[in-house]
Amino acid sequence: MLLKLDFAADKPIYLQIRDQIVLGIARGELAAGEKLPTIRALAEECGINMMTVSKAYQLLRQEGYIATDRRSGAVVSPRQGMVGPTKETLEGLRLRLGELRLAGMDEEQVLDLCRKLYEEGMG
Amino acid sequence: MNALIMWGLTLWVPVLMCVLNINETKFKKNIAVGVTFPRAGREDAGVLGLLRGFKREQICLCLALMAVGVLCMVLTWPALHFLAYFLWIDLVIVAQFVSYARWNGKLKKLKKERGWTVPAVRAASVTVPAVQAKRPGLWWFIAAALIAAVPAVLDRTLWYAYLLDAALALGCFFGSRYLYRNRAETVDENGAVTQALTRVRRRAWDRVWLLCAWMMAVVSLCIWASTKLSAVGGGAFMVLTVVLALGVCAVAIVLEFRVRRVQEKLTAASGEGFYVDEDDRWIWGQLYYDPNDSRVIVNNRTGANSTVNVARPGGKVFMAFALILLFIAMPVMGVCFDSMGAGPEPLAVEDGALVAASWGKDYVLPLEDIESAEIIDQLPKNMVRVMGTGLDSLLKGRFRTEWGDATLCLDPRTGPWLKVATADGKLYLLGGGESDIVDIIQEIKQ
Repeated sequence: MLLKLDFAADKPIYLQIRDQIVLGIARGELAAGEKLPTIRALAEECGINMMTVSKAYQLLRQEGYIATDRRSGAVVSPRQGMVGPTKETLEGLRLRLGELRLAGMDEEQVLDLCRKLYEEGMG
Repeated sequence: MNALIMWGLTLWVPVLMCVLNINETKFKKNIAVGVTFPRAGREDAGVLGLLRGFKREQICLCLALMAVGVLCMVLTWPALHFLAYFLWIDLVIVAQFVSYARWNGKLKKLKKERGWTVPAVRAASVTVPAVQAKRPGLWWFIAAALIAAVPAVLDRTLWYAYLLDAALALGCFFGSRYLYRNRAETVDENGAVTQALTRVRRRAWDRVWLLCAWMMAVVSLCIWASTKLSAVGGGAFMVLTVVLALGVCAVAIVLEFRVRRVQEKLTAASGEGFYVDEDDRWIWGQLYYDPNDSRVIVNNRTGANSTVNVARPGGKVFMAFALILLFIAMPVMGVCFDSMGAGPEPLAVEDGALVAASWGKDYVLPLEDIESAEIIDQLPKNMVRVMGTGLDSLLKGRFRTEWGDATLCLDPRTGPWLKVATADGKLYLLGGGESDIVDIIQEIKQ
């Protein structure tokens, strides 16, 4: 799996790492139990500070996407079935839906778009 | 003789640079002459035309540089010889750099015209760094360092040379680990190719450093052996060192081309969809400049070598040091060597002391300390230099001779010379060249 980091973007690098690893897990590019690089190795790979990677890993651990262990480093956590969206996800979704509605899309168009993106994400 | 060896060791460098540059026209990791192209670029008539032009220029440049080298060698002999030599090395580096930068600029312009620029993102593999490849351990280097250090116990005279070799052998371990950026060789989204490219490059890098470490061990043993084998002496050591250094260079070049060939083969199908394009971070295709990259040492995009990130303070210091060395220190060194090449100044008796002077060093022997002085027409055979200068026209410093350890400051080309023993048991061999030894010895005896 490849991380594509954009240093010119407004989004902080640690969030870019977090988001892409989440997408990687969702697409199946990173399987449950798969080893992630150590903080040092990923920092070396990306040419960024170790603190940035550490921050991304900490966030992923808090959200339950990865588990960290002193001996084996970071590994992708197995998904615990249907857990439902978090409060933050729901708030973000509401905001995006509002933006699409203001952009002139009706319910059917929004649902079609969501379906397409969901399938792309799983492809 | 020394100068001939010196030219012989470097006159082929333009050929090597030419071959390496011509190899740059083959697409490796989608890159040719430092410019990244999509697959369509490999069949584009404009791109192929420019690559042919680059190749032609490299051949012409190589022939011109070799011709200039031969002319320098012949015309400046023996005066200003070293200055011409070092200036020629500078010329080789600058000419090659400028030529590469010029064609890199042309290719980049064409790429822009064709609309082949891609968004500047940094691609980093998540899965490959997690796979730990086995690398030669520290013990392999410690073993080489220990072997290099053994002669220091057997021969105390040159202990510093043996320990320096041991330190360099151990230093090779740190070179292999810290002069290499442990980064995956990502070309596109094909993880298997990334993994194979990373493995091949890392293995080649480690092999060269391990070989260098063991070469240092052999050099150390050779120094020791040459001091013991008086029949072959210092000449044998020089020949062995040159042969070993050339051997390591040859292995490094072979491995470099092997890595390039693998990069070419494994990425032959790349360039469709997403592919890594870091052209905006490589000035003239040769200097890495990325302020967002926290690393100073980075890997070259093709081949197995490393370079520095000139956007980092460490990279700037390194580059400044290299430029000072190339364009200031080397010509100055040339002037110094040429001054030394004129041989020692004539021997003189001044203020009650015998003075033997050469560039940067005076030997002053008070006359009352001189126990004996005699004229010699033959220098001892198989003198081994312990520390000092060994030019065709000047031998200066500490030498090991068949008469015992001696301090030399003489022109070996023309005698006679003066053999002086002092009250503290030291032996000096002085004079030669323009020195009027007969007058000097009379003054000493008076």
